[in-house]
Amino acid sequence: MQKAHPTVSVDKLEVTYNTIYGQVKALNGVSLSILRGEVYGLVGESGCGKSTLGLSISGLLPTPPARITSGNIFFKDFSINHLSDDDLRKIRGTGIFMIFQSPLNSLNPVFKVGDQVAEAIQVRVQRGNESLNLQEIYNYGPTEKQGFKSAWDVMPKKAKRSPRSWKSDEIMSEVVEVLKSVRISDPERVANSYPHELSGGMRQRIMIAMALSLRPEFLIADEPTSALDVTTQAQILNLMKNLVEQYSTSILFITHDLAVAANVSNRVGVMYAGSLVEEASVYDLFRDPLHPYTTALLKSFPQGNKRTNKLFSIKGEVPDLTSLPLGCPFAPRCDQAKPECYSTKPQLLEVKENHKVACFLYK
Amino acid sequence: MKRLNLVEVTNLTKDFPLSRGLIEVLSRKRKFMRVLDNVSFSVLKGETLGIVGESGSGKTTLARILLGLIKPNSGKVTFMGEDLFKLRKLNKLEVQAVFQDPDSSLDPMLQVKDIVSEPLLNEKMSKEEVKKSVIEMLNRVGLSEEIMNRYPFELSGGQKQRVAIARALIKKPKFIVLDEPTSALDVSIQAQLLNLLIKLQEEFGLTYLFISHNVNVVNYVSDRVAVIYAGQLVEIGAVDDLINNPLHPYTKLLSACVPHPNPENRITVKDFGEVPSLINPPSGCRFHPRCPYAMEICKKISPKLEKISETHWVACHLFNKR
Amino acid sequence: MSMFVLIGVTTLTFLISRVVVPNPARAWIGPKPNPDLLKALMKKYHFDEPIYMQYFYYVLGLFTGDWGIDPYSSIPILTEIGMYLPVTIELTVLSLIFSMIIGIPLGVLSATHRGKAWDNLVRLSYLISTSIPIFVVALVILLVLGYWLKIFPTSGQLSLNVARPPTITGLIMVDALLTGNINAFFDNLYHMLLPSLTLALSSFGIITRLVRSSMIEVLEMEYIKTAKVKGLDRNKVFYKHSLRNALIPTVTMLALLTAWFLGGSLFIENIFSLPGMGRYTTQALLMFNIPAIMGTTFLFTLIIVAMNFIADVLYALLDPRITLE
Ligand SMILES: Nc1ncnc2c1ncn2[C@@H]1O[C@H](COP(=O)(O)OP(=O)(O)OP(=O)(O)O)[C@@H](O)[C@H]1O
Ligand SMILES: Nc1ncnc2c1ncn2[C@@H]1O[C@H](COP(=O)(O)OP(=O)(O)OP(=O)(O)O)[C@@H](O)[C@H]1O
Ligand code: SF4
Ligand code: SF4
Ligand SMILES: [Mg+2]
Ligand SMILES: [Mg+2]
Repeated sequence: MQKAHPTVSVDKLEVTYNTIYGQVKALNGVSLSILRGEVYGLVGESGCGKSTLGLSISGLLPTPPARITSGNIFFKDFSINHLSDDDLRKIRGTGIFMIFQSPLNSLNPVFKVGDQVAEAIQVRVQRGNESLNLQEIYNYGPTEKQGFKSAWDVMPKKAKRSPRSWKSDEIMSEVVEVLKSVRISDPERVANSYPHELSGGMRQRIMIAMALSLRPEFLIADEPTSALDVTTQAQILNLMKNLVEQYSTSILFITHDLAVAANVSNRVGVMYAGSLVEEASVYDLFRDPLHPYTTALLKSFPQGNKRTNKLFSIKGEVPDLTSLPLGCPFAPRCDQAKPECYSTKPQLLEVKENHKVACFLYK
Repeated sequence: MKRLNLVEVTNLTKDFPLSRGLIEVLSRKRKFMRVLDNVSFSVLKGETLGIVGESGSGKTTLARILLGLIKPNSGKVTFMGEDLFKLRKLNKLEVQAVFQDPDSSLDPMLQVKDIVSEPLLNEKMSKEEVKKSVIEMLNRVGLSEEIMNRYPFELSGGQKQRVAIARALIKKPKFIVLDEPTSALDVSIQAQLLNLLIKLQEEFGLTYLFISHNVNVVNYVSDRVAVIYAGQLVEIGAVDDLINNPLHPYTKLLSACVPHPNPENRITVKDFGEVPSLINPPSGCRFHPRCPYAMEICKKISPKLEKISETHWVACHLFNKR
Repeated sequence: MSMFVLIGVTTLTFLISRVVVPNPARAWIGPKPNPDLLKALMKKYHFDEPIYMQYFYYVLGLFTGDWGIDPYSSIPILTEIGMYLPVTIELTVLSLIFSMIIGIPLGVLSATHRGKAWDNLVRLSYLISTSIPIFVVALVILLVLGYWLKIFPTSGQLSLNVARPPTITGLIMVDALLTGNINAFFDNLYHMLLPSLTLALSSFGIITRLVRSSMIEVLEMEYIKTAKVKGLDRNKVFYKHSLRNALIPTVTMLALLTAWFLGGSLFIENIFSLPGMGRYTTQALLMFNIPAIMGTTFLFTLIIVAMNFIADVLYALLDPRITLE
């Protein structure tokens, strides 16, 4: 079988933040790839670099303080990490879209939410309603660094109407439609509200509505449900699945909640202190976790009741990213650590079919 | 064996005034929203009562009333048989609290030792004694005494929450209200903290009211669980009753939406309904617009809590035995 | 709030005028008073009554349009103000517009090129602008653009060959537009350009600095990332999504800027020979014309209070989270 081309792949990415405390190595050689229509769940503790990875792919890392020190990011086989902000703009939106961690701040407080969704629809319509044809946009091969044609240049003639005519009733009725599809019961009123008039769950659904309007090929969802209660969370996970089913969107789903990852993902990657330590299909990972950190995480997830189940708690604390240990980053907390774990960093290797792990216990 | 009621809450109702526009001010029409509606339950001595409910359902408001921080519009709260709002200030220290956000509950200008010793301020204790009990308390919550001179911003989220727990425990209170104590923390730190809370409860014979919207966590730590929907108590019972035999349609929905760390047991719910407005709450049973079993009576009459078994009560017309 | 300011200022102006000139009637009449006339005057203006009643009549006068009489010209103060105010209004409004036209884009430029050459240039420019005294700026501009290069007129409101449009509002530009006299409109604008540009040049730094810092803050916000990741073009991100939020704090500067311009008009109107409130005030100060000084003080206070109110309204218009109480 021919190997499918990934929508996004990241190759040995290293990102550091320059801070007054020193260089924070937020990503320490992370490689992964996400296929078309696949939901990749990325789990890990707070501060392990999950958001940094998402921001790197969407080209929104705050530079400075952040800097990509090495590695590559590919969007449909085209290297995108050296692109200028203006060039990136052309693939953001319908190509790559991102939902940010806090729903409370991700909408502009001074514009009505309907208008903010309408903008997303306009971007899609402007680009001719079709998925991006990168080959046309890029007039160069994957590795060359050259100029760019804008989306405007390659857009079908019929879409090149004047911007005025888009802000028509058509768009407003699509706004109402899309708000309905994220299960907002009173879409006309909500479209006319300002963000501060809506609850956190509503605002997050507005962000999903934007994603639905843009129909991106790749969606980065950074903890989209962490601030929400279970019913709203379940609802939003459901909407994400619809996005995948309808438009074959690929999703990088970032979460620190294992149970959420188990619910939406096809594949799951576990991150620890800036490195990917395990990656497998969701079934393999939860049925047969290999890395000691993954097993420990699963055992510390509260299930059942205190009378019947003792919660496992990992000893020690997450390492300081300014001075990572030389060997395996998990070694100081690992009960199976061997001498070599302290001196050499284990590589992420495929130890079973489609199951990768970075640990010296598996060779 | 029948256990003692430590806290008893009867017919608690709380209204908050809505922020008013110019027109309402002029026409003197103040609008209220009923955040808690006729809530009654009791907390047994030495148990953990979990409270679950959607965001905005009134959980924090309930906690603030139990702590004596705000007064209810009507209803009564008794603590060891005495009216909570008539307790003398000193006795109020028998009730302590830990909140979700340690950043806002710990004074950023104070060192850890001053934060933890704050409840001892009115005690006639020498500096040495205070220091000794602070160190003992810090050790109890798993912190080393080196951290005494640090400021909150120099601590991790888990450490901050431990400091908050140490402060709550230093006067050896009987009752602790925990409002989302682990919601801001990672699973591994959450596990440490839950284990710590369980251990401390056994050591000191504490009674907890554990509030969270994380059903997995509440089910794990609680002996009994109460479910609140839009300010109304809809079901209360032993944790096994609620996990294995949820009766109220809302509790059923809630259970079905809880994610499990098992991809073979995914959430299958498709119909979630809309969160109700508290300003114009649905008539009768507040859940009726979302309820698949809603009947005519549900729109008119608000159901009362009915006893199903010794440990299990539910407020739904489906279980009305009249 | 603004009520307190008004009460404070009226009390102050009243007290000052009474301390400096305990009996104004006597001062008006001159060195050799006719006792009957003096008495009649004192009665007419209530100077024979107790001090608190005098204060009452003073405040009553202020709010009923009786601001006293100019002892030198014997014209009511309010009428005089009516003649001098329009020029100052024109000057202030134009200066506000120019300082925004200069200040806001520079602030945006500086914020979007943070730490780069443009940013440093802008920061240097507003440092210079706020540190050089306004009359120095005025004289340099006058010298270079007016006398050496001779591109701009150096004084007056209109050219000699342009007729003044009939007075409707008193504001020449508005009157010119109302009567369809485009020629007079542009001629007046041409004359007002240098003075208002001078004021704008010495104050745009206040705006630039504020826009720069609030823009930098806004650009870090999550909703700007959302706007970017939606694929919006650069202009939409910077000018639609960022600028409106960044301008909200700037609106609060409106009253401060107006105060700054009113103060500046003292110099500018004299240097450019404009018959406005600035000239009127300086003359009143030089001639120790107490009623006129008190009148202008009260007027300036009223204007600042009004500007504060306008700022509040604008604030609420720009930021939907704020509602007017
Ligand atoms: N702007 C910044 N400046 C300096 N350091 C930063 C910055 N943003 C992130 N970091 C650091 O980089 C590391 C990775 O941060 P990141 O936000 O990617 O973590 P995360 O996995 O998303 O965590 P969380 O679950 O808390 O969102 C952290 O140690 C953090 O302190
Ligand atoms: N001081 C107050 N004034 C007015 N309304 C208030 C006040 N405090 C809370 N409310 C409102 O009361 C309702 C219940 O709030 P509460 O904080 O008790 O909910 P909660 O169940 O704790 O929610 P969450 O899970 O989000 O913490 C909310 O709609 C809230 O907006
Ligand atoms: S490499 Fe060694 S220290 Fe790291 S997880 Fe494996 S056994 Fe533990
Ligand atoms: S009372 Fe009626 S509407 Fe309410 S939960 Fe029961 S069946 Fe449903
Ligand atoms: Mg993050
Ligand atoms: Mg709460």
